[in-house]
Amino acid sequence: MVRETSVALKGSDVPASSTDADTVQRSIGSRVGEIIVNILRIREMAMVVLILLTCVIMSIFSPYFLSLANFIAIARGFSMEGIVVVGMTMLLISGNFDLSVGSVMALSGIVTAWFMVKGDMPPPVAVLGGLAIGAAAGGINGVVVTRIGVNPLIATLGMMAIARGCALGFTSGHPVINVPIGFAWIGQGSLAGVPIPILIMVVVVLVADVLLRRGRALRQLYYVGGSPKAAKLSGINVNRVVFFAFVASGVFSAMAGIISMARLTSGVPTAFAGVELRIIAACVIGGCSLSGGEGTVAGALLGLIFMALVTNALTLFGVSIYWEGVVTGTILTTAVSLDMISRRRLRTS
Amino acid sequence: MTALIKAHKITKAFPGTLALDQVEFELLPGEIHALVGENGAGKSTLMLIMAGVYPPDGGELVVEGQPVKLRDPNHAQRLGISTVFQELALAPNMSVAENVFTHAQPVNGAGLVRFEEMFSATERALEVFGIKVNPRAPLRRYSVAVQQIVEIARAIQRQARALILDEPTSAIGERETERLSQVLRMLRDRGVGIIYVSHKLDEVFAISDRITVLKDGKLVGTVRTADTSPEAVVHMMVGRELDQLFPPRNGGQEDTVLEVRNLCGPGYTNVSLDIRSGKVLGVFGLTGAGRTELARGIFGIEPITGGNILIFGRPVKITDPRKAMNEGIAYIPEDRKQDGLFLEMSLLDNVAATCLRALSGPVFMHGSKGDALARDAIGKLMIKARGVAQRVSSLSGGNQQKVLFAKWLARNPKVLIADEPTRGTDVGAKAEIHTLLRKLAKEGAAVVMISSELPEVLGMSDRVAVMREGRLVALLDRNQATEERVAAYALGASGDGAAAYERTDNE
Repeated sequence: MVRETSVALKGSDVPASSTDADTVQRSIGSRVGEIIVNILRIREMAMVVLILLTCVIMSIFSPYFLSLANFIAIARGFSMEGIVVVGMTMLLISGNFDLSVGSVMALSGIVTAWFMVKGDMPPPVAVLGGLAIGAAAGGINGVVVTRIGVNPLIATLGMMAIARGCALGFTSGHPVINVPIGFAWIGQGSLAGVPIPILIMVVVVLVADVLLRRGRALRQLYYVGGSPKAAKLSGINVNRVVFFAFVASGVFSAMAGIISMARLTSGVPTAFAGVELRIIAACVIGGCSLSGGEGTVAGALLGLIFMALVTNALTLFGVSIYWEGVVTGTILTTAVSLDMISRRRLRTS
Repeated sequence: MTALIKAHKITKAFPGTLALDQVEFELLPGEIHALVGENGAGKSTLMLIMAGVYPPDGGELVVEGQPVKLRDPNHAQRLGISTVFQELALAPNMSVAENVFTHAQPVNGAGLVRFEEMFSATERALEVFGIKVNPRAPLRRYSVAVQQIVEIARAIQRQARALILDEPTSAIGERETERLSQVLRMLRDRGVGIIYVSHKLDEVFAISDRITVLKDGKLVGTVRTADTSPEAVVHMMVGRELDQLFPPRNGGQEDTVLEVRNLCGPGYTNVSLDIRSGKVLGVFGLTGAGRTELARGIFGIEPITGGNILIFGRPVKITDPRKAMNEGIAYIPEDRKQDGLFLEMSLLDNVAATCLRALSGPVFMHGSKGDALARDAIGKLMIKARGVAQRVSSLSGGNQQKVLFAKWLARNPKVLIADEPTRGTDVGAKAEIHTLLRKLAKEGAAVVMISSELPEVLGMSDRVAVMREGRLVALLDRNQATEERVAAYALGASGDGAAAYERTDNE
């Protein structure tokens, strides 16, 4: 009897098979319109249009906006977050998320700095140590979520506090200073006029985007997020995929934290507080869904760029930086609301 | 005597099916009226219409002489119609008492709940069923049986004049069932009208005054229980001409591919079966008979608790779906939207899901290989899609089911278990899926088809396994499998009951 009822209840959203025939019969003229609509429906395209629009408006109102120096400044500003966005995108696609990214950034920066300053280790070893801390934090998140079954909100909220606590505890709240000048090149130097952090971010983003589109291992994230039950029944090791995504998020956070530390030439235990919300917002604006199965790295990066542009606009227009949260929050809620509305239309049409 | 509820020419359509067609039904005060029928006969739909969950598309509902349009279950309740749904609608974290008294909680002058009074009233209400519980304890501490009784106690406590019970004994034991019968008779003698929806015919005959039989959304008839017999009711439920054409069966070689010996697990016990190549084994039973659970056990989704699984005579340990897949088993689940498909992904992604490794190099997916596989599937299974990139959610039900088949055929399975493969598909797609299953058998696969549709089982199967209450009660060769016989086994109305295990296998 349960069966009968559920069939009946589900019956209403079985798509009508007549739509296929309709599409065939549609005229060529409306096809072109349809293609344009379809292109805009691709989130990346919509984001590109939005970003270009913002740029046009900005260049009209501010003489300082349209300059290479300003663009490089903006890009350097979001390059660290751009790396973190990659890991967060993977997690969101798999149907999870990570609140501990900001704390893990701070902790791994401090550990790396501490290894070099107090431990006198060569920079590559210190960096590996910092990345290992990130991997460990992500690994713990992954085990707690997949093996014990704790909700990712709680698991990573816990890690957020623990990592921050470690960063503050080890340093008694003081920054770790006197990082070797040579190491600072990673954060401050540039190659062919392009700052190193931007280069690193571009490489990470490109590789991750291609692997998510074409790579076997990362394609599994979409299956897991799209329908965990169906993925399990299709022979995909759901727990392992999710665990890997948490480790990736930890490692990318550590990478970003270490680059930031190099740029400031000191490990700051109180840095990057609240960054997780900005990262998740960027991913969601760029097309990720909190229920999983959707999103791309390119889209998430475009979301981040859009937010960075708006922040830049505030600076150029002389609005206090303290108002930033209002703008970010409004963009986030508006973007997701528009998405919900357009989906509802799609379903009813 | 005015009827408590009178359903007049009730019609209800869902996309693809006419669930109810001009059905007449009447509930008098002081009677227990059983509503029976096969799965899909429309008894649930009729019940949900009388409970105010669905509005009817046509016809009229008259409650105590007044024509009404029920807006929602709450409206029905205010008119004195209380319903116990099969799915429990309880708050597990709240106390037992608060679950019994969800509506009219006793309050004092200041509008505050008088808990002590509520607790003692709850104790009294549950004592009628012979169970002692602590009314202060959270409900989740108690078994499903107790929760079911709490749900029934709640409906009774509302002083309903008409009570609708949907499979009320599906989760409770014999002792509670007996108590429930006593309570229902007591209520009947007080003038309450009770609609008892069940497919357990022995219970229906033990308790009801009248029986209404539905079949394929139509009323077959209403009879007085005293004037009829279980055999006659079974005949009313299933008596139907085979009007569908099924693909011809194939002869030839058959080998035992998979064998289960005394398999036990959640929902089934002591099942022994052999599954043979080149043949279709139909598994019939009512909802809750343990068919799906058995399939899930064989496929390693829910761990088995006893017995063995052998493949080509070799014992195997199947602890998760991936192991089952490596042994050549494929399972097409019953709930394709939840367990089978990735609805928001493309046709290609769906077909590729079971063989990602075969479709990729060390790092990258081979775009062309996956594309070829998906195109091949579209051609072979005649899937109506715009292309391999179309989202599966935008396909029709029958085409979605074909995508699910394609996903598993990509692995060339030796054993294919299809759970309700034609549910929710139209007649055309149904015939195509039947042809496909037969073709797979012809090509040497061992096909297991779980189905609740008797004509389908009889038309498709080389052998029919019948399950009831977690046990395999009969394994019939197709010559011996008649509608009445299979239905009688599934309903437990076959004279000797469950003990009569029949095996007409010609080995």
